[in-house]
Amino acid sequence: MSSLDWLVFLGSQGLILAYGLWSISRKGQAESYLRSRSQSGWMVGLSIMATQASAITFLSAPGLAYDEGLGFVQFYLGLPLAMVILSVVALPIYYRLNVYTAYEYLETRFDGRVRSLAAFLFLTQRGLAAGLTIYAPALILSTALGWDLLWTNLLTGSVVLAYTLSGGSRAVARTQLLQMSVILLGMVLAGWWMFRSLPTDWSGSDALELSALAGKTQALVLRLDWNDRYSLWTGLVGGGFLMLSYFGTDQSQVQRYLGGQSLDQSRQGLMLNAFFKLPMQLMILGLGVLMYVFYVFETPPLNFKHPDRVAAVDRVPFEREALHRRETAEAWRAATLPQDKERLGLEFKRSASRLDSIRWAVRERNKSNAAADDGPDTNFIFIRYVLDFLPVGLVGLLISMVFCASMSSTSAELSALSTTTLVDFYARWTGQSPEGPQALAMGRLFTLGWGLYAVGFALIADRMGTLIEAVNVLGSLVYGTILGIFLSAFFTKGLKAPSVLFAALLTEGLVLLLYFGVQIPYLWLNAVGALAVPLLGWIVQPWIVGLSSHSPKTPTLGS
Amino acid sequence: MRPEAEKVSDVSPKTTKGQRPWLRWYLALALFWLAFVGILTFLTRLGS
Repeated sequence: MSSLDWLVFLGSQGLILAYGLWSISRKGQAESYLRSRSQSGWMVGLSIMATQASAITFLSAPGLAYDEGLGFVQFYLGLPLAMVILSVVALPIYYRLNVYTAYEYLETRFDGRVRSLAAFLFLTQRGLAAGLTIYAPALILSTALGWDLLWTNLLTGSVVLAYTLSGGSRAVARTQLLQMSVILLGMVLAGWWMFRSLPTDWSGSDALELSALAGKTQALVLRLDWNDRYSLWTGLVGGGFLMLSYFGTDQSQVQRYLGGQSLDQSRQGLMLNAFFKLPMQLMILGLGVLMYVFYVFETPPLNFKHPDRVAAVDRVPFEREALHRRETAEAWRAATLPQDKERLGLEFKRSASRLDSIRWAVRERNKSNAAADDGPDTNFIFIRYVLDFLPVGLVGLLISMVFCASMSSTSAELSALSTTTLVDFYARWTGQSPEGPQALAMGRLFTLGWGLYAVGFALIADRMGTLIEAVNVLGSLVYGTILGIFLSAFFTKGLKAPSVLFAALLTEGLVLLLYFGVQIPYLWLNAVGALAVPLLGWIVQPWIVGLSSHSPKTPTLGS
Repeated sequence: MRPEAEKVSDVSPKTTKGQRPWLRWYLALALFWLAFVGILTFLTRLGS
């Protein structure tokens, strides 16, 4: 990076940090470490989006779209419905009970064991996911600056940890506003630069048509096939359940919207997320498609992670084909007769497909060679573009953008992990108030502990495949079960704690078996888990109902 | 749970009077979703 890039990067990060610290010193109340109830609907909405959109989103998603097109957007199609359901069902209950964590509700509805199980499942997966959100920006810095990945992981992890330790929940929410601004600015400028780098006689609609020819605009799959990773149905059903679970029961999100000034402000925040998330995600993926068009005119590297480590035997035919693809695209654009346009369009399609085949073949060969395999290069596609083609100054802004995204997610995650450990385990076991000075000190200690755990996982995250999928797979392994417990709490009056506990444990086993044994696409796991808990609960209840006389004393829907 | 939980316990799905204005938000969201799927359909058809 040039000195101007460093200036932009350090300047923007310094400003955000200074603002965060200033905002804490202005209102340094003890409660703010756990939760602040002072945000408007807009702030809540931005905070929700900034927490979900981690560095992984901005690094991995454009690369995924470059390789596979817009199909990943279907993953988010269930989100608006999930927001409505949460706004109607979960939010009023959380507000009524005035909880710190979502899992507190489970104790009043069932018992302490069910609450502990849900909190434990959350801690396990969110701790690992936090590791991935630390790993992503470390990866960029190590690539950009040639640093060792191990040390970069440790360095970036420490920075995020120090930042979270300093301010807790309030600092997280305040700084997320600025971070989100840097993120949006970075995305828009990167897209603008990409577009203006296309040949001058190419219009936006030419670029769109060309990407469509290469199959990159394939955004909707309507056929119902169990094996499709992304389709309207996996998005609506699997993705819908995942979003319901993530936003409704994952403390890193619950903590965000419980920070609203009132129930209405929190609702507004959820609605804001429902309206903006889909277009934002389409825009991020669109950046990947635009990058594909850009690389039609600029020979792309065969391997984006290690462009120099490609053998000539692979590189030469790849570059020859890339040249042919470019010439065909130019001829297609210049053709005036419909039959020429059609013929050249078909040839472009074939050429694009041959290029992909070469890329997949090399990737597969690397996969089978354990020594050469260091994971797919999808996560590096966007950052390679940033480093190779963006002008001085903009590179610093984009690196800053990725850092902002990482900080906003990781700090919210660490804050939620610490709050859950403090409220659902420490305060509950010791009988202390989570707002006391000793508990607050413990909260900081838990943040530190979870930070170290996440950094530890970040060190081995390099083999997790496409990051954005890895983090969602991890979530899907437990989200279904957690959501199932909450659905049982919200919608059933007769289910008793022992039945739910037994059903949840059984369901978690089933989900793990389905993923690792049967290997069904991961999005379905969310639906299976969510439905299996209440269903199995009803089935086993007659056998174990005598074990407990506990009856529900807090609200189910409509009670 | 916070000690003053009882003070705000009148806010529940049943007692919140403000549910109805939100129906407009939900309806607008449904229309928005349909329009978004329409755009995805257009993009998909472009390549076929």
